[in-house]
Amino acid sequence: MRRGMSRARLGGALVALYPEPWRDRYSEEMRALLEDDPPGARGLASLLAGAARAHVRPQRCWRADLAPATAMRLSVGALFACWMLVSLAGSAFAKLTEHMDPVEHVHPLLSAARGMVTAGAALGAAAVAIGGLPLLWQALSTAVRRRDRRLVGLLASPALAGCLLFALAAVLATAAPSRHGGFPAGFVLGLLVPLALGTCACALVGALAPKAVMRRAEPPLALLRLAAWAGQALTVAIALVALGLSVYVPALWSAVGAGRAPSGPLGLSTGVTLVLALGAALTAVGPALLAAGRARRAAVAAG
Amino acid sequence: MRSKNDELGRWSDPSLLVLASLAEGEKHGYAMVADIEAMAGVHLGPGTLYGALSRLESQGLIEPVEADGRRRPYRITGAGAELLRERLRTIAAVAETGLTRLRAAGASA
Repeated sequence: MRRGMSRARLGGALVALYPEPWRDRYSEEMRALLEDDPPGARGLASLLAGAARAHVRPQRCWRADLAPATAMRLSVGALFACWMLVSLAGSAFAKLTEHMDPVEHVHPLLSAARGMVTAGAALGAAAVAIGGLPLLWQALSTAVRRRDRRLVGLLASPALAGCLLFALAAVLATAAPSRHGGFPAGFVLGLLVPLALGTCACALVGALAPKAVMRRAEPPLALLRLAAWAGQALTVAIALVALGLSVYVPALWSAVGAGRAPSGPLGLSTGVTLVLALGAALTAVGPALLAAGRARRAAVAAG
Repeated sequence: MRSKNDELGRWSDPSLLVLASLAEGEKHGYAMVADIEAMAGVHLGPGTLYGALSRLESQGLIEPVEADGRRRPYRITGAGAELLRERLRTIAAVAETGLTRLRAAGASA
């Protein structure tokens, strides 16, 4: 009985992964179903798959009648989450290729691709500043005016997650075994894997917090419209970073494969991480284009 | 080009099972899961069930009725009943042909 209740609670927690308009429409009846029929492992997997499907293929019955403000708020939140994914990929790219100047001189495409990534990063940062800072200011002033502790917590959550990540990195760096010039299994499992997982968790908090903050702070239409238009530039920035990485990674392989560049900086872990960064950036492009389209239509509908 | 009959997908598609369940009358989520399990031996997961419900509702094949507390029942619409009838006729024709052929093959074996 107790196991059934805890599975129902776990299922109820997974309902939070569905899109907000879906939750507004179905979450009560879904929670009632989970209490009547507590899900097993397959049921929980079905909830996860259902949430993913709902994000990828929204249905007219719960998506069509959204007010322009809600549609803009959701689309801007989705765009920011895409940007966080691309930022993670771009940061990994910047860290891994910071000593690759000698390699970039031997292949003409490498420096052009780096230029695209840099231009995308600059454009994205500008778009986030123009669209995001007024929303942040509005959320902060709302939190102070309403004395809303939950909103304060949501606003502080990315910074708290960053501090936790920093503390984790400090603990792991002192406790992890030495590299001794290579990447032994103990170093990878003890430092790199937990640090990568911690970074992903931190990025997830950073990606989802703005959506939750906007839902609670209820920004005015004018700020949402500004963010929706800034989101169009953010989409271009996401595409630029993804395009730059798509050119850089194969060009680097080609330069190393043709023996025109020293293979020193391109170890297995660097190669795998670069491919993962490329995959993450490319994954963000489709949802960003969809969200930008929705944001644009909602901004036009809002007048 | 997809015919109207294709909208329900494969024979074991959850949408078809939901429509067949609602053909009996309005039901809420758990009643549908239990009925489908008894009727077809398939236990629909909650994500699968609500994916099918939202697709069918968007296509105008089912509609929600007034909620009974937290449990909201659904009923099949006229378009849903027509589509289900068409689909079940196709399935019945295939089943009949298959069984006839198996009988004929059994007689000649």
